[in-house]
Amino acid sequence: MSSAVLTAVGLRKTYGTTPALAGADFGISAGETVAVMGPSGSGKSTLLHCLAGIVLPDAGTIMYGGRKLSALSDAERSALRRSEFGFVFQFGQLVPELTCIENVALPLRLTGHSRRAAERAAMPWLERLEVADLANKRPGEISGGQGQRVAVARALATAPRVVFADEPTGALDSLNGERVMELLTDAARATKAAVVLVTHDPRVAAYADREIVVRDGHTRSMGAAA
Amino acid sequence: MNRVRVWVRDLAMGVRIAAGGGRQGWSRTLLSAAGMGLGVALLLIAAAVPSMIDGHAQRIADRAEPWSNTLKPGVHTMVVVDANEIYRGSEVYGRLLAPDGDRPPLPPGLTRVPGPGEVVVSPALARLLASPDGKLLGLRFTDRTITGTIGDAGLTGPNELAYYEGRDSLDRYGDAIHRLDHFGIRSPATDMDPLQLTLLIVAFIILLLPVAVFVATAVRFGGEQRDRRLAALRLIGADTPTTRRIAAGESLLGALCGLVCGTGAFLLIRQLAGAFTLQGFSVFPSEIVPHPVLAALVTLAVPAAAVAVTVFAMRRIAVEPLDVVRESVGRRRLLWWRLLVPGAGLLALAPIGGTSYARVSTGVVLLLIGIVILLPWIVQVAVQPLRRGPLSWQLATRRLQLSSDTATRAVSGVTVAVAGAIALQMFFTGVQVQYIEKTGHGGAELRAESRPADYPAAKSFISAIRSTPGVRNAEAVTRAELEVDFSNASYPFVIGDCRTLQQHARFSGPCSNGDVFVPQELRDQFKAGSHLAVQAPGRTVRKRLPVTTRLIDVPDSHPGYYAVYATPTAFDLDGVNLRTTIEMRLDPTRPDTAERVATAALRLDPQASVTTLKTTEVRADFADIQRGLYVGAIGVLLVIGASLLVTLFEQLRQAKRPLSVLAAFGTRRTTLALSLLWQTAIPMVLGLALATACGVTLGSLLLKAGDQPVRIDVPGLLALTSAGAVVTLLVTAISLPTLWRLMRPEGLHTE
Repeated sequence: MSSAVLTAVGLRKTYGTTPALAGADFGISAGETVAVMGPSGSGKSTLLHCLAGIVLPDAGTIMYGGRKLSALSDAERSALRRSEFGFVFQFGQLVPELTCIENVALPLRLTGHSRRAAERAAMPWLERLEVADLANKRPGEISGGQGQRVAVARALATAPRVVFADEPTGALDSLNGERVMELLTDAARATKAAVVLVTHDPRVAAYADREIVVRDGHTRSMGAAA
Repeated sequence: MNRVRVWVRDLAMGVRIAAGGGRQGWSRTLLSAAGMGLGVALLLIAAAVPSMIDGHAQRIADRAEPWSNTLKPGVHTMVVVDANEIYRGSEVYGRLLAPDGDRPPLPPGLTRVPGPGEVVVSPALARLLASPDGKLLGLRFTDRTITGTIGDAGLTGPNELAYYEGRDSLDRYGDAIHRLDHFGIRSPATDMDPLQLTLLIVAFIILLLPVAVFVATAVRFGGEQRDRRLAALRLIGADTPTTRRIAAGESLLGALCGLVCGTGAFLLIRQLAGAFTLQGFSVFPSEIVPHPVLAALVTLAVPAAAVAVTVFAMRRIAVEPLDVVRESVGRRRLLWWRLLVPGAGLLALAPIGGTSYARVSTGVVLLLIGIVILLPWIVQVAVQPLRRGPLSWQLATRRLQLSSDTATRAVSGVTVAVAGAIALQMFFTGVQVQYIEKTGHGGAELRAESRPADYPAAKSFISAIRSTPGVRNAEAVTRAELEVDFSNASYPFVIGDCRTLQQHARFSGPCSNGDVFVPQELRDQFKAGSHLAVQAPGRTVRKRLPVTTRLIDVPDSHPGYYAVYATPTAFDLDGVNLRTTIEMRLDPTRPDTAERVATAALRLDPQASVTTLKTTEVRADFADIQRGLYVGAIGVLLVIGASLLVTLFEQLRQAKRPLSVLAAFGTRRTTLALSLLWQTAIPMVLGLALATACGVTLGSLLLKAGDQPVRIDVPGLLALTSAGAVVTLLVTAISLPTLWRLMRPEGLHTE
């Protein structure tokens, strides 16, 4: 991991009296896709939230681009997420009021682009994800698979260095899930974005370069994905 | 299965689903119940208004004094003198009692007539006298002993300040005494003039409509999540009408819980009501009893509204199997049917073919309901072209373009209330000219009046008031009622020293004790040496006008134009009815001067009155309606504020997941806060504009219906629209901490 873009060592996080992470380690290089696997409640999503700076760990260190994440203020971490990270969640991630193109343009607008420029930059991503014809539809008018593609387009539109995907195909049938994964990993590789992929589905994990397993808050490297 | 059984089955299933919905389901039901409970509580209070008014009128009637001039003193009679006063703006009901015999009539709430020097006070007065606030008032009772408290039966409200004081004799009060042999009259039928009745009806409608709007809004709380859940029912074979009925059943549970909450809140408010006084009006809890018919109407209407609103709202949502709900979007709202209701309202209010209360009330209701119906169309038309602007603006306008219902529902209550208030404000401003009476005094701020036993008592009274700290420019006049024997005409007889007389009648020239002055205009009636008949208690005293009587010039605009002026030694004033009036200004740097004046006056004469002077006074019955409206408006504003808050919380709760996601990819707090503000502010601005237009139209039509000139009270209009805006902004500000909380990453957890 000589060119690691994001590393974490000894992460601990407790919610109330429930430990979610109990000394987890993690590392990912540019352009690499790492699947984080584990049973429900093992701490996968908490690890992703800590790595993305959404929540701060109780102990341990996360380094990104030579900076210690926990040393950044909330505003600085928000700025980092806006400009250098992308996110795909399982469901409920598109803003229902905005059209698909407005949703994809949203992170660009948050980084200061004008509406027109943001939408101009967003359109190729919709095309790449094969949903350009849905540009002016709202999330309520499209299917779940189409919505996930729009979400992937949105995650990649800012050319992030790291994409965090939390069960991105969890709400899709296998055919749609596979297509979304193909599009996500292809696009990420093409832009040299690292992908942290949280899943409990081995078929989804198979798209990753390697896997780590989270169990009882600890991480264990499983080597290259099948 | 017949239709009724199908409805009952599906509604019951909906209730069961809602009840078994776990913590989230119950929290949604309870939020809805809280909203409806607020509305139900206010509706029940409104339903109790008739009993409160009746109870209040009955209590006043029960202690009324049906005195008679022909009643002779006897064992069953008593003499009563009105000793009402004002203490720090609160009215104090006071009666001086002097029984003629052994078995005098007993005022309600008393177990015996207080003896000489004894005072029986109301519980509220006892509390006030025992507190530091009542110290100044206590000085008026220093030489008397409080021997008991007045029972509830003798009070108009639990917080009324009242007392009965026993006396040996009340002869010194002259014709102010009333002799009676019993207390209480039959409760008079309250006849209102048509204008007052119209005002009352309109005020009621305006105050209650926002509550009804809110009840309809609360029914839809949690609707969006519920609609998604219903997709599962479609999967197992429920058809669309069944799904709608089941959804209505879910709302029904909220409505039933709302009824229970509302009844509970009503009972709580009822119990606490006794502790509060609003605009000088307090009411016994036992009298807050909803009218049975109105209470039954509320009990039936709220669940029925819940079912009807849900079924109606569900028609716009296509619930499909496989957990997919496609909301029908892009549908253009139709205008024509929305214009029908306000159009019918305008027609009913138009001054064609005479007006009736039923027609005016119907017109007002239709016009105000028309606002609620028109608002979503106006918001849609207004926000549709909105494209440019910052992200927060875009998020808000897209939300409104997708569905303006939620936001417009939130502000429609404010809109109706403001439209109604503007109309009432216009109407009140327009008609109050009729109800304002000029009091006829100039720059003086306070007036003290007494009926002294003799002229030395009058001088003591004047001196006591003049020497009270804080009193400035006190002008004192003592008058006697004087009749001229040849005409039976009555003229005031002003008594004072030379300086007072010269100041009062504005004449100059020589004056010495014993002189009498007659205005030129009265020279024929009051010739020097002529005989006069002067009123004394129970008799007429003959006096002779001194031969030294002089004629003076008094300006004809002067209130003393038709008065005779005499120095104290000009006549023997023994036994003559005298009235001393002192008008004064007050030192603004000394608080409580008015109370000190009242204390000084009442210590010398318990029947003295001290009144704050205004250049105009609003007639009492009109003022009652105005006061009632203010009390109602306070209640409605509180409910609107609370309802807006509950609605916003509900909106935010539903948007929990998208908010967390937006926060995850770095959206600034300010962006979302501004978006929330725009989302409420845009419909609010549109709503207030509509409210202004409708309020002015409604006010104009009401004034025309009452044959009054139309005039717009611009400052009042601005104040009311600002109040509506402030309520909405305040509520948005209060909801921001919830927004921050919902933006936390915990919302991203799905496990």
